[in-house]
Amino acid sequence: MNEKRARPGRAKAANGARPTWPDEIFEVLKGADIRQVGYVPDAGHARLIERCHADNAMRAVALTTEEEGIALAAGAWLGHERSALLMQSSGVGNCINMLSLTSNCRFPLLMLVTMRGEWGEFNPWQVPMGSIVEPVLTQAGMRVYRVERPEEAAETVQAATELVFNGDLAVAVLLSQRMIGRKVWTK
Amino acid sequence: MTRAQKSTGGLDRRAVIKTLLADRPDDMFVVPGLGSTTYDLASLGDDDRNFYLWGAMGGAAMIGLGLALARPKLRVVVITGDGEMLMGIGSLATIGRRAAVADFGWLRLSGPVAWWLWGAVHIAFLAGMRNRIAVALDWFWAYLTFRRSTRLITGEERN
Repeated sequence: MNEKRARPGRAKAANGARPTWPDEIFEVLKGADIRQVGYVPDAGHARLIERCHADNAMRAVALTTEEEGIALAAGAWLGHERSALLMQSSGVGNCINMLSLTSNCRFPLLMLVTMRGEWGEFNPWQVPMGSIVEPVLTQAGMRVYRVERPEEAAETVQAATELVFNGDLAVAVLLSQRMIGRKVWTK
Repeated sequence: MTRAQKSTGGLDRRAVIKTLLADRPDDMFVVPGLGSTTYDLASLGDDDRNFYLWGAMGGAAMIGLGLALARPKLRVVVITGDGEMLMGIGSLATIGRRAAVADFGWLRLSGPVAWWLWGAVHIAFLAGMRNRIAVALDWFWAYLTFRRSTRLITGEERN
């Protein structure tokens, strides 16, 4: 287990309320008839994962490594189901070879990535991967959108979803660390 | 002995796959792993229900899972080699969630029933009644509260 799966805590939004963007993203996924959601446990995605697990029409699948999710999404599409894949930026590198499946067969792929290694990062080991997510995914044939503000999250995921499933494309939405909130280490 | 037999310790893969799929039902979809098993499958003749892989090493089992979850009524078979499987060995743990097989000879259980049974067997073999009760309660609580990844600390929000 590496550090990203260790025990983190998250700063609450400035006004102390729980942010609503994860629920808004969930509604977009729901509205787009996403049926399978592969994920690697991650604090930034915790609320969204919880919502997906609680929904009877969705199947949330805990993965042991992110690249499994690329193959899961391909299988889901072969079975006429839409899926989404949730991960942290540190898992992006694990996916690169498996993305050849996506591009060779032109499978649609919707990836939501919570970013580390940028705004207020306290762990230097997160920086190398975090800082190359965008170019690496672009090189691997994906379109990359970035969300900086909570109010942009749902509409960006919505736009990505349409591009993915109407355009048969692979799109990653990067959720910036600034928006997610600085990670607070709790021991 | 043919070359294929030598390299697989006596099994002729082509003969094995032919036997495995001899009476292939209409609802059986097959995902082979990259390389040899893809060639083996294709050697039986092309079929729309095959999804050949020539790359994506380590992905065969997960493609099978995605398809099986999307189409539970289909029979999905993944046939792959040891190298391909090792590269995605964690996917067996992913697939194995809430699914298991318990074969007594006279009774064969599969799916969630077998999964529960194996859980019970694990608990029965723990030393001490206190441990058995503690683990059983712990698991039950984890199950009820959707903390399905109980062995992974995923970092819920803390005050």
